Amino acid sequence: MFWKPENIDANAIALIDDSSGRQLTYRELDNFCSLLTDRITSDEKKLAFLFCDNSIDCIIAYLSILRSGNTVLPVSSRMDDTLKVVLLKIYRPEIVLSIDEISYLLEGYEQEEYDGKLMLFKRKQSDDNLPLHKDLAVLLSTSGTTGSPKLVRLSYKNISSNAESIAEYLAITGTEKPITNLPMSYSFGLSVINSHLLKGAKIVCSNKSMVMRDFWNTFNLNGCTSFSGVPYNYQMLQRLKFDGMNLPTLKTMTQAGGRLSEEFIKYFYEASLKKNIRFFVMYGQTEATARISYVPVDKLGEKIGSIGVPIAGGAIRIFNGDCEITSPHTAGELVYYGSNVMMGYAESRSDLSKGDELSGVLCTGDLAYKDEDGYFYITGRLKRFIKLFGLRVNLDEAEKLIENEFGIAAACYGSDDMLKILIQSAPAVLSETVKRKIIDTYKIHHSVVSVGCINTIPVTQSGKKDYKLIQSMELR
Amino acid sequence: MTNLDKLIKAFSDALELEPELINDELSYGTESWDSIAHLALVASIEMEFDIMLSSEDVIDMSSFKKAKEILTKYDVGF
Repeated sequence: MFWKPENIDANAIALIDDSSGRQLTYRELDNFCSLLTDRITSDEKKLAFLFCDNSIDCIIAYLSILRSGNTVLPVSSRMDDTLKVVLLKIYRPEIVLSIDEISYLLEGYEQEEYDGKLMLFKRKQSDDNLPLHKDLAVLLSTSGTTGSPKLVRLSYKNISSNAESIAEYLAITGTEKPITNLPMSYSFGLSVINSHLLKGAKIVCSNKSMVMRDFWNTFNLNGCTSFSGVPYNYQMLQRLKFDGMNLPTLKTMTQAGGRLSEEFIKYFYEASLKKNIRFFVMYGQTEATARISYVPVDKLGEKIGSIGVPIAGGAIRIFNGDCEITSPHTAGELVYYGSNVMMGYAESRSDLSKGDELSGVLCTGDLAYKDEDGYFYITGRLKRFIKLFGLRVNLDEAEKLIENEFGIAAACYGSDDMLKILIQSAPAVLSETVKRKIIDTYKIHHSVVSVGCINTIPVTQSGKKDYKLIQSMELR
Repeated sequence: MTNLDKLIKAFSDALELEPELINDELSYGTESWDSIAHLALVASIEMEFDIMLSSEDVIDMSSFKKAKEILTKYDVGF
């Protein structure tokens, strides 16, 4: 278990704060965790919200909640206040830990003295607690800082098995020194922390941004050996002329969180050969804790565009409805089997008492085929969502939001780099308002949202919006 | 338009901020200036002044003030 790792050197450095230089050994980390664990342990399993950034104290809190047997929901401290309130109202956590001032959003809680950088709150009235399932370890949002309060329920088995699989294919050892450039409230960012703690590595805790010099100075100064990124991070890195950057200690970089175009994969593959570093192209979903598959480094050159092979202990099969497709180069839905498949979703507090509803089988909603060597390739999606900057935007939800808010018909479509919205017979001024609403709700940059107007949104014979026609209209 | 006006416009377009809010104190990490907006800002400045910023300059452009300093290297005076 990475939250109480065994067989590691207790005197080795575990966490390093990139701004203050503060360091904790694994022994010290263990002591700090014990202090907080004692404060939040009780007979009854409780729900703890952790409003966090990537600082050392947040990692201590995360591990302490796991150790205490309570369930943790890590939430970005930068999340919009209204969304924080929605989550608090729906899930009613008994414990709230926060790195930033939060008391103004908390009603019916009292703050407790806690000797750390975080603030600790407990709910006063606790006789109406709905029980939590004993296996429930972590809750994660599927959409990061945006939109929906729907959560993924992960068990202790889910998070420990995925950490082990990841540590195995990345061959993580105690000599690794990753930097936390992705938020720990995001499944990919959290998996970096989990898999490295498991192996006794040194984690450089950073809240800095890859587009600022400060980040790269920190990276080199600390002798970091790896970073991780979603497609957008790699687009930034290419703009920064990654192949010319001087990063003498970099040994590994990993990519997941959406499809990176082949052109970019080739660029980073070639740069990785030149710099003698390992470049891992990977695939996963929060519903599978984080990771589903990866491309072994020595195969990347011949398998560009592939999501690779399943992680150790996992299996991928392709289905057309109930029929399994076994022949290569025939696409169907990608179904993943493994002990890292979530217990299920939660949309209310009472859902948290539910057990495992999926039994290790995850219908991903992604369409894929395999080649004759058993490498998988994604071709599209069954479900209507796009991934902007690695975060999921449900197109049907976005449509509903516009239709409810403005009382007009809307069609949302697009790709992983652009959310397109068509609104029906609306005055031109409204398109700006609609755009603003979407940008504010999803916290996305205005350059990736476009709004157009049309007299009538085309529908199919069965009366459903005809997205194929809508997309093709644009090409004309 | 003066160079200052052009730079303010580039910032205002990329960060979606009112021009009045753009001054020397504006720095990375404040208002809407995050990593995503940063690359939009770089593109916006490059288009406005018809230049190509080096990657060193891209990661150094941490404030409005700094942007002015950097642009003087590209013969853009303020």
